[in-house]
Amino acid sequence: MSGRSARVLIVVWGIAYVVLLSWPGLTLFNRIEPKILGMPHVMAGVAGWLVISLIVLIVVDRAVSREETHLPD
Amino acid sequence: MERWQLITGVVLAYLAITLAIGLMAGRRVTHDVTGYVAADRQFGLLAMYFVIGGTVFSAFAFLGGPGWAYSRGFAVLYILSYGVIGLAPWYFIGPRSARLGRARGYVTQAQLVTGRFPSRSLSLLMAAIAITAFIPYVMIQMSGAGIVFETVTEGHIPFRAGAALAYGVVATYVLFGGASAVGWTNVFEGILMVTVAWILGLWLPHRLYGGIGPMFDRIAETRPELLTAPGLDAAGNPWTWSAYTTAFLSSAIGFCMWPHLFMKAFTARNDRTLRRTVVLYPTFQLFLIPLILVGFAGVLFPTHPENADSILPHMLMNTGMPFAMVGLFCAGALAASMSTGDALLHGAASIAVEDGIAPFVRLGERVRRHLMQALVIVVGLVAYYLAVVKKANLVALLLTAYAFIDQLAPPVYAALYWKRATTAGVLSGLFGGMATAVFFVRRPALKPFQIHEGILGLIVNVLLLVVVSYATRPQSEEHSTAFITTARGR
Repeated sequence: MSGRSARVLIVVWGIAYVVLLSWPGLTLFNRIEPKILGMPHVMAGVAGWLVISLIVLIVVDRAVSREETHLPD
Repeated sequence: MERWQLITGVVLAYLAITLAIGLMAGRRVTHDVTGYVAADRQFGLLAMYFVIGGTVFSAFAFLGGPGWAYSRGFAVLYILSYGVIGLAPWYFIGPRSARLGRARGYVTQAQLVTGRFPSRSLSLLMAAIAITAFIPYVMIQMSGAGIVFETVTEGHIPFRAGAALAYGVVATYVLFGGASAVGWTNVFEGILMVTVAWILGLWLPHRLYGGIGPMFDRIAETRPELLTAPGLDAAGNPWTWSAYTTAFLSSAIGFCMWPHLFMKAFTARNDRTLRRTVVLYPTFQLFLIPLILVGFAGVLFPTHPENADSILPHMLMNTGMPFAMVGLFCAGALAASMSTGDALLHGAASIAVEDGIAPFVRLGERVRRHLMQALVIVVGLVAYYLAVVKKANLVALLLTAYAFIDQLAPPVYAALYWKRATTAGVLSGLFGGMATAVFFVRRPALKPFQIHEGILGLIVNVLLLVVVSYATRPQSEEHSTAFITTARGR
């Protein structure tokens, strides 16, 4: 992934983050069942999104770091 | 030996280790202002990761997080949500600020903003906002330490003595070690608080209900209103989506604008360290999950504390836990309190001197450092007096604090990204935003759609910034271009 694509990805991720974890996005998975790892669905959804965020940030950072050190993609 | 004495022994051991780490760390840096305020810009990833996590998660997270889940249900999800998106802008503005810091010697947020918008009034205003916001925040940390001591020692160590003991240790290592002591004690405190939170969060639901799933099954039968967003408000009525969403947005926008947190950008060894701290931050944020589980474990607990924020120590004292476990909890909660309180004391003293006094009076490096050290003690004593002796209304003060901090975002972003912004625009935006925020904090009934006062202030702030900037003469091309080019690094 190029540095430019990484910057686009982080903006898309940021918008999705705000929409999904507040109104109206949160209403899409705002229920108790099915539980995941014992947690109500909505809590597990928020926790899952944080894990996805970690992965997105790692991907973006690798691309930005590669661009900075001028290595080919 | 009595149980409370054994618990106190564990806590004293923790305090002794923290003090030793703080004092040793302080010996490794130079004795000038950059050494004291920014640890010679030498923090690597380990220190930065725990400095940010430890600073963000305070006694409020350790006691208030479970308290929110216990009393307001999934309203607490907004607290779990805002941190990661709140720190994300730091991935870009952190390295930009750090480059300017290295090139121009900045060690505080206001120095960076007034480097672009030269104004002593702006510097003083930003210092005043920071210190006004810090004092109630330090007070909450001190109260947290006092509550923990008093509860787990069954009153043998009273509230006043507990707060004095914990903050005596903090003031000592901040006084002698500055930012370096704050950083390295935060590594120890951060590891301790995260470990304790996960142990308690997994252990309490198992001990009381046989597991996390069975616990939520029982809550779903008796209190289902707690298990869907946006949860309940402070009075126990359903919270509104507009209040939930704007509280989330306000916290996310203000998150990396807290001046004591922002100025840590100037302590990083290099840009990569700063970026990786942001990337790894979600792993720290997840530590709120066990604290939320602890809060829910309290919902069906047979007895209830007077104050929701005491639910965690209340359960610990009533579940027959071994003394070592209670001592560790106490150390974990103190670690959460102290790892925030130290950064606040250090930040308040540094900002008061660098942004409040130095722009008006010419002072040498040595005098500035000594003045900061004296102010660490003064700020600590003022906060102690207000929190412990006078018992001021913390909640009202902290509400004002959060609404204020949001108003620092437009000046910072304008300094780093917007060439057309002018000093008059930034100043009028900041004044207007603060006046609006204060108005709605004092008159909450007038807030449209229960929108958070920080967001209402920001709307006025940004509008004034844009309108007044366009209405006034632009900065010289040379000045704004040089600033933004240095920030970009190319």
